[in-house]
Amino acid sequence: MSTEHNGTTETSAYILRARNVSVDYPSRRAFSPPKRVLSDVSLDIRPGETVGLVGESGSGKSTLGRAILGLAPVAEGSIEFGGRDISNASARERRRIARDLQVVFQDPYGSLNPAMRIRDIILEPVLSAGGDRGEAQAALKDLLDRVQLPGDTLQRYPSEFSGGQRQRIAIARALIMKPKLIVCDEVVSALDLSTQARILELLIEIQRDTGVAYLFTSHDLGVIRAISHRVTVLFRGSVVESGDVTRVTEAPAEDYTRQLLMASPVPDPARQRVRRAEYQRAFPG
Amino acid sequence: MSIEVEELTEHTRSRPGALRRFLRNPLGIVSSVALLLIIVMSIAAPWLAPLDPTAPALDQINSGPNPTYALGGDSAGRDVLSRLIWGGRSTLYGAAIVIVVTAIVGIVTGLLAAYLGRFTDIALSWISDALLAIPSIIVLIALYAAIGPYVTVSMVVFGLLISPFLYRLVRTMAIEVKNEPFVEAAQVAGLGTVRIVFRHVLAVIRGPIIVMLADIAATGIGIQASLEFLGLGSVNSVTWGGMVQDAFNAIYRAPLNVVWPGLILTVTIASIALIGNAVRDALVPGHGPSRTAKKAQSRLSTPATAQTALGTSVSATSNAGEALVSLRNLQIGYPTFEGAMSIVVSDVSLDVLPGEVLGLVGESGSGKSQTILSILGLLPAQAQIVAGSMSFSGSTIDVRQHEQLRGRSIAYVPQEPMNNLDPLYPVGEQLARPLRKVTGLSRADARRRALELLERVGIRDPETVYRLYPHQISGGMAQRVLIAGAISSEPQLLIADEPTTALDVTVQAEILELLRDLQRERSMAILIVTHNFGVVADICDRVAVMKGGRIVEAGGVDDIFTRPQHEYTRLLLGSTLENAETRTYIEGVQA
Repeated sequence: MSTEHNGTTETSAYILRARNVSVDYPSRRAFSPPKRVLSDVSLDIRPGETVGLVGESGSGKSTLGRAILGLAPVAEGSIEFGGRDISNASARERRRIARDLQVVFQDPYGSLNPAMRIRDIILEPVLSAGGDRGEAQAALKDLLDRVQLPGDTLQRYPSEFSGGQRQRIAIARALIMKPKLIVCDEVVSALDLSTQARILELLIEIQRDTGVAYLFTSHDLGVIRAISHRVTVLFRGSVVESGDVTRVTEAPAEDYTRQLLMASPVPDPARQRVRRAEYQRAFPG
Repeated sequence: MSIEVEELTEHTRSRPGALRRFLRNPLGIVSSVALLLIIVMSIAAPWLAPLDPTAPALDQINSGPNPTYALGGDSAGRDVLSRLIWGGRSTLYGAAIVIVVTAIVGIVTGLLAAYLGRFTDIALSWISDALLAIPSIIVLIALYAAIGPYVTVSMVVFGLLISPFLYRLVRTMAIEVKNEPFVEAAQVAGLGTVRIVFRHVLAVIRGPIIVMLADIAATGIGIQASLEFLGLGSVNSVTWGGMVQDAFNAIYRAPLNVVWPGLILTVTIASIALIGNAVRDALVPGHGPSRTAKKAQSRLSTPATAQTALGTSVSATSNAGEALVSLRNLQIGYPTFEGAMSIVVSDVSLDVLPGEVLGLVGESGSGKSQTILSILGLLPAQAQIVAGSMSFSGSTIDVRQHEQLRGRSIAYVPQEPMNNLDPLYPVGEQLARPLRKVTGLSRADARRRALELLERVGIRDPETVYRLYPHQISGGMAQRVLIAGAISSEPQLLIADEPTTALDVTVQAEILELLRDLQRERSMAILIVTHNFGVVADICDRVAVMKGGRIVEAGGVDDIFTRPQHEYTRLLLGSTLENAETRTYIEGVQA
């Protein structure tokens, strides 16, 4: 525990503290060294806030989320959750953490078991945490209202729902244990524009009501800007810059952040002409 | 919002439970009734059989059906009907043993290989391959020679020998399923591995396992009967295979005696196999149409319902000169199972002028893909052109057949660059080959031309890239290669279907720049399909917004952005997050 050098007050101010985290993936070829996909990344999340993690493919943004969730091994550094070191936690510790730490994935088609009814899918975290099933059952209706799904959802199978609805189901599953932090991994990138906006609205509303924190990864700065309080920019596994979302997206300190910002076209032909010209000047070739 | 309502009420029919679905399948019912009767018959054999199946009667040797022996007597004068009733016992017992042994060995080893991987996987796969190389019937004959006629032993051995089939199936499917996000979500929820395997992995793959076990059981019955037919069964027990053998020896004197055991064997084997299929169909939710087919289907079905709500289509035609491509009142439909027609593109009229960039914007199911497929002449065979016409440079074109344009005057750049390159050939070759076919260039000239094209699309070292395989290049470079291929025939129209959606934003900017350059340099028209209004603002001259198979709004790009007329266009523009406010403080918590 890092309480010795950080002090108790500071530790309790954050729900999650990642310190100099590095993640290696084993190389595909035998006898060659493992590949470092995330190196020396630090990040804090306070209760009730959204920290955006933005980067292009290969930036390691999903890997950090996976390391926090225990789906990727932490090679160096530490991840503290609720004051407890959870890097490479055992299965039993994971089960304890699972009450407070949940996930919503990108792919709305793969993230729900096709052979299970929605009721069983949403209640799964309760089952594993040894929670009161009856109580959770009673809470289901409110939960469905919260994520705006019709009442007869529970008896059905995932294949009967559209992408946006599936994400709502995945959000309900993440919410059932009233977690303190949800890792949202590219949750809107597979959705249509209007569905995407509604899911973001829903997530913000839930955060307002429940005080849950989000670690929100996306390749889309627009999405990150809409949902995050603070943002960390990653490039090839390392932090480029991080800070308040308005500051980073309006006055970026680093060239790479500026490039990311200027590369994404504005939905306004006149402004885009200007932006494109600036981009060409600033980043030729 | 009306669209919200639409999304939530999209599905109204709830799926019946697995048992009810099984019972609705006539084939499943008939075969389970048949198998059930055979099982009951075997169990109740002592009470059902009219006579002792082993008692010979000299006057009934090879007798035909008669009042005492309903189906006649066999070569030893024993009652065929009684023997038939008793014979099911050893057959079903043998099948049960095969199922149990194969299921345990196949599933356990398959899961072990999938989960432990590495050396376990390699070792188990070696053993499985070795077992598969052994001809099981010969082993079983040798076994008989060594230990004699024991159904239990021979069926256990047969189960072991055939279990590699199940092992391979379970291993492959478990490896696939164990990395699915829903399994990872269960891991995050803290479920133990054993629980995950049962709840998530086995539950998802049980359908194919059941089908294979049924097939294996059926095969086991066949093998067992063959052994008995070869005379390798126990002389003391009554078996169907043994009956066939006995009857075969006397086939000229009592031909009917071969029919009865043959018939009951056939019925048993067929019903087991058919039950397997029916159970699989009932168990796997959404079985039948796959995920993609389902998606396509929902795409196809939405427009029909949306039609009334949206009113008539706006045309995206232009008076500014002669059009390169013109679609007039195009209507495309797909026949549904009920015999009706589901309309996916309705009354679409649009022009692409020479040298302009026209954007086609819409969400999934809007009909934009179907529209460009019809211009490309790539509509699937079941699609029907209900109405409308198409012309290219003033001459009328058959929407169904215009291969002569594709790859020459009209070129195509797809959404997923990686999926559109053949992994088996170097990228340069994939450029040069169509060049030779279309333009008749020699091998050396085609290579030279391909290198020029690669250089033109901004690839710095064309000679090296020419020799690389698709997996060795990045997504952005793959898209450049495909663009090089598209412009190789000097097309007048380039159709780009979400050409930058799969790419990073910095790469997207480069690709858009490249498309713009090429378009100017060759005064080539581009029809670009996208859902991204930033891309539209960046590259398009005109834009058509599609919803529910119709064009709801069309116009110059500046007009659409500054003065959107249609409610849906406004909704889409309102959904872009460009001007969304940032969240500067945490609600309810002091920052």
